[in-house]
Amino acid sequence: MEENTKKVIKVLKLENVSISYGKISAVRNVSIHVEKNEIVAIVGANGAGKTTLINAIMGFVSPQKGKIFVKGHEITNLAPWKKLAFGLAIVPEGGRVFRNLTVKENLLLGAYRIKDKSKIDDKMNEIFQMFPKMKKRYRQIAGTLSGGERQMLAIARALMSFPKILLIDEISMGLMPKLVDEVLETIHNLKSKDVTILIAEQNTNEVLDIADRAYVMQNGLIVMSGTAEELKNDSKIKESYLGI
Amino acid sequence: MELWQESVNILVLGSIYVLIAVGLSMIYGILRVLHVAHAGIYTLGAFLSLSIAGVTGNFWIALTLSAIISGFFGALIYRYIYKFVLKEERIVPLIISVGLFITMQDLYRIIYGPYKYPFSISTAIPYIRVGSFYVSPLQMLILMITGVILVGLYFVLNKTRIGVGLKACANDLQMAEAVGINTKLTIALAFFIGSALAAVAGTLVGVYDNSVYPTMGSTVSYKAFVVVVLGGFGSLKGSVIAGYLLAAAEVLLVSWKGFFLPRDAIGFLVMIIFLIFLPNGLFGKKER
Repeated sequence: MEENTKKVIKVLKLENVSISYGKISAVRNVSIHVEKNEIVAIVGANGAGKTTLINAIMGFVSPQKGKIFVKGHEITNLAPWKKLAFGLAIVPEGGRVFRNLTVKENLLLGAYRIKDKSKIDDKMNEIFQMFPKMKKRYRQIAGTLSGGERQMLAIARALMSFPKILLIDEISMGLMPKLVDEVLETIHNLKSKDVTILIAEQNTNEVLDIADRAYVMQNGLIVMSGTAEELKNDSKIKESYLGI
Repeated sequence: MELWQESVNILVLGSIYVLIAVGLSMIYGILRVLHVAHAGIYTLGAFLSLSIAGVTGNFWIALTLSAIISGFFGALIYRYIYKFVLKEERIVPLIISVGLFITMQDLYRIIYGPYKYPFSISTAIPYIRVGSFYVSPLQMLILMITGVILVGLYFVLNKTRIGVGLKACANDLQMAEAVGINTKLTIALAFFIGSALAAVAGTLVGVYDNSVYPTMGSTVSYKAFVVVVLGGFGSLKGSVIAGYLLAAAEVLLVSWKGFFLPRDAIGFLVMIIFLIFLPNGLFGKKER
């Protein structure tokens, strides 16, 4: 097994990506990569540039400099809807679902690019097993769901597109600690389903429990990287960057 | 019997309001742009129908072609004008839209002159008369066309991928893009549909009043705005109901002898009352 995977495929790769809003630079010269079926975390304080980075990968903002690759194909300046063809999907910050639409409509929109109806039905059943609440709330307007349920729906909606690479932004925001663990556990379980995950998270301790590797971001720069274990045990890092 | 007669008038007038307001509401729902130039498209539709009918002698061909051309014209306004200013403050596209409307009206005046053109057609629809109750062929024409359009629109919006895409875009444009919807195309489509409906409305009014003229969109531009405020910005269902309610208020109040204000004042009174006490309209969602 090890022999075959010697040349590891970099599913997602960012090369010297810089993004600024007017004169304020949010991301500076960032190079990161994610390998197949890895969970990689981007940690750092609020305003470090994590969300901007995720948004750039999805195509919501365009980098002024640098390149983004998925499996060797450059996707830097593609429109978001075209990026779905490369297996990208996003779980945006704050459980951003289609609030005026029902849970059902949200899930079906997740599968907007899937033509095969039986595939959609199968996926829907899989999602009901993963999140029984979604079945219960199927006909409810998404805006009436609780914060935790909206996060679940956001994850479920992203999964409906059969993603290969899932971008997750601040999933723990506004959730009770118990729910944070639950949601992160769900994400960890996705690993066994052939999904590669890049997760931006302020909740450093919890996310390092499920991540394989992590990058530490500060003021738009990657200041440190390593395996989750290394970062968790390094006391200096803890103090200076992670605030644990 | 009189009330029956009034109800026909209400339905006819309301149908026109609805046809205009639906496009305006759809566009506002997605872009949060008050598309004042929509009334310019209404006039364009009337002139196109008049010209095409003059050449072909066939009203249906004229109506269809006029709707299609106006639809494309609306989509072009999005593609080449609004698209570039959407990131600006909302006052910017609004001012552009007002300027565009004035320009369009002046263009019509330059091309057609400041005259009222008669636009009469003959339909195969019989004159319906039961006692003192009657429906004229033109009234019947307006009711039938609006009926077909509203049913079709309901089907497109609720049963097709286009409809789902439009709903998603109106709800959250960026997320719509993130689930794989080509939002630019979808918005262009909303402009196409809305503009085509406005052209149909312009044509029907031109035929009903037997006159087409460059400034025929002036009152309409405000009226459609009233309907959209009443129904709640961005709510299509609201626009449809509000269109008929406004028509009812106008027809009933004007026929009441003691009423001293001009007809067009009613809409504005209603709008002012709504903006003060119910700014989100009948079915509008709170602005984010």
